[in-house]
Amino acid sequence: MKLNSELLVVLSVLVLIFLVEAGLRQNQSLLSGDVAHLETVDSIAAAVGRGDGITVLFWGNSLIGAGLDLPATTRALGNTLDSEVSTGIVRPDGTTPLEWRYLFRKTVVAQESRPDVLVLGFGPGHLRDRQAGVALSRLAAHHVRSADIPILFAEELATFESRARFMAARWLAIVALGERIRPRIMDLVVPRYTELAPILLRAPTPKEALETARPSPEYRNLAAMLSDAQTAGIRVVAIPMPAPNYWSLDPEERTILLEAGAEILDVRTHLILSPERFPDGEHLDSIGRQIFTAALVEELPLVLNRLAVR
Amino acid sequence: MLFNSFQFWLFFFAVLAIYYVLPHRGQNRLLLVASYLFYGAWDWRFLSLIAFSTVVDFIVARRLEASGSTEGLRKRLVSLSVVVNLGLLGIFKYFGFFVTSAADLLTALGFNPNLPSLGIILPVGISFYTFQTMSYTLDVYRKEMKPADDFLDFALYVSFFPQLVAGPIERGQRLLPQVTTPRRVAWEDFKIGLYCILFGLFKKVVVADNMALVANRVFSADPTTLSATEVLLGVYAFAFQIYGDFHGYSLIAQGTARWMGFSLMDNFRQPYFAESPQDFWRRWHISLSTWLRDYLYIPLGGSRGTSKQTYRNLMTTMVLGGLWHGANWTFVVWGTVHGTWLAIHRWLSARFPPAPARPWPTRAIRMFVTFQIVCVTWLFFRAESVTQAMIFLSTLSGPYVWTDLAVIGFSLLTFFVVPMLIYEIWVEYKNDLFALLTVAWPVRAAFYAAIVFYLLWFPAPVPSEFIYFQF
Repeated sequence: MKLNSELLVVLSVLVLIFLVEAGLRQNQSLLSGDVAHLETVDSIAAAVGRGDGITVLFWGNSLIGAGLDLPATTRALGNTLDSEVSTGIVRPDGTTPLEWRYLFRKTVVAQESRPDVLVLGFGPGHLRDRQAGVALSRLAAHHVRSADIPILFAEELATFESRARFMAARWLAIVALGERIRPRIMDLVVPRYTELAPILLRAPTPKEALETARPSPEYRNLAAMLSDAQTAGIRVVAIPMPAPNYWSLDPEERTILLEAGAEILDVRTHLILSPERFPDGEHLDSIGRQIFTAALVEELPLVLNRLAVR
Repeated sequence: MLFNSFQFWLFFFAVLAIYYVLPHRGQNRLLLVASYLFYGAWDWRFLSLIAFSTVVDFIVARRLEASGSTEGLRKRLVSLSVVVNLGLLGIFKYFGFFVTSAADLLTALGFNPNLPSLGIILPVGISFYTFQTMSYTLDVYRKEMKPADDFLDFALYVSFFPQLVAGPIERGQRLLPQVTTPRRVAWEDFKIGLYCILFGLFKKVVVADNMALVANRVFSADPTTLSATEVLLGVYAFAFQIYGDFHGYSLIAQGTARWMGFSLMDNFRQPYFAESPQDFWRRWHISLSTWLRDYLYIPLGGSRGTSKQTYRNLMTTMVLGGLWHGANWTFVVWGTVHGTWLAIHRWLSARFPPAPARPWPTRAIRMFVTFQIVCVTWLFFRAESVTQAMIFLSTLSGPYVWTDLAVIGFSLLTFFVVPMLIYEIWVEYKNDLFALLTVAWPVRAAFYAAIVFYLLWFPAPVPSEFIYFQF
């Protein structure tokens, strides 16, 4: 009798976990617009690769997602270049070259038809490497194809623990989606959770530590992504995105981009974007998007011509 | 190899799979090897310490038994055990502290000291296993138990991996017979073990680690920039962090041991529902408080002498208990405050004896006041220095304002701690630590499902190590 009751407890919990897992697998795109976007990256990249005329894939994170009006850009490029232009945009939230590198290999390099140009939008410090641990679930669930797991393990996930966590997130949506579910539930029950939670993670840094221990940034993943693009015959145009305060490219970042044959197109110098155009302090609003897009489509054709992408 | 890591669970289930197919003697040998592997995973050099302590206490206990009633020899033997164990602790845990403190004192007196520093790493769990093995020789000396016949069985008693690095500190009288006699794992053990493991993981991964976010943020800030509300919430967060962390570890230790047929002692009994300092110490880290009572407080004279002697014994026990936690003045102050509080409470209780049966509002008020005083002691326990603790204490005088940090801290406390407290109120009401195991199975299934989803979706973004591993 006792045996049955405890087995029933365990079985019930397992069945519930299975049901939630199945439900999440079926409906994960409803849970998050970002997941829905990630599920379409393959088809976006394929559509651009197979497109007619000049094919341009815009790539980045939510900065370029909010800052670029893609239909307007496509129309303007077509008119200026007097050619058919096929475009697409890949802009998963909160990502950097750590995720881009693997997603690019999975969804662009692996395709038979590839875009002519990759336009990479990025914000201050976004091109630097970061700890894989912070993006482990997303890497596992969306960004890394099976063939690239050995590279990821060798370069980013050195410990058994991090590899086990990666594999758990790869096999189980219930694990992989945990980091997306938590803030949604917390937002419901905790006032201003998303806004205030970063306060807890921002450890105050003593002044002396700031002065002495600023590690030099690394750009290993950016370099790997640029190298993949070069090998695949895809030209890269890097566009620094506007922010409330003007920011400069790190000299090393610039060197890596230029050495990999990328063009740096900085249209921010022509722009007048007041801080009000960044309502959350990071992303452009709709007016800002129009201003930025207009500036970009004025300059981008010149770069595309220079790259002889016709 | 932390209890909240994949590595530990892979290790544990591998050990368990082999364990179940072996006969009793084979099980003991397997557990000994597994325990040394587990301990060596932190740093293989620590193995020599635990092995040395084991050999010394095994030989001492055998000699104690053989020496019959030769009191002088028996005293020398037991002193050898105490000196070796406390010597290990002294060198590895306190040497640096005493040297630094002596250097500070000499500098204050105008000298220019150049004292040696050994730069030794603190071996994980050294305070736990030295106390455990010392209790064994003391019990043999007191003729309260027979020494172990088999060295390898005794070595397993000292190093049993579920409770090796953070307790409970098990007495030889309780754990050794479980080592030496064949064990049966019944479904009841599976049931208890499952509860302990799941609830323990919840306390550690969900409660303690999320509270650590708030406590670490407050205690790492410049103390002059914090408001009274922030300090108060930081201290409350630490109170639940250390409780979740340590009770979580103890529960997982109990659960994993139970799945191998061992019954470890309960180390906590809803300590934040204590109504007095005595009550608190009957509920908090029970294996340490009873150890200090039996091997320090009572041998010092306990409450058998004059009031003055009793207060002295209380203070000595609590100050040394504080120092057991770590080589820092903050722990000394923590122990001193607890000793003083116990002494004052004893004095008051003698003059104003409490009513034997109290109505619940009175009990609730007593619990509330006791919890607040416990939190004041936690302030010293967690502070980086006594100076920081004093600044925090003065900040607590006000003003109380709701800053963003206070809002998020309060929200997280409510979200993670209140469900746990509601459950513990029910357990306290039932007066049964395993009351959940007596309810209908669907209720238990719902409880476990809630825990599993909490574990999957609400671990802290930054996990913390178990606090008590450093002690």
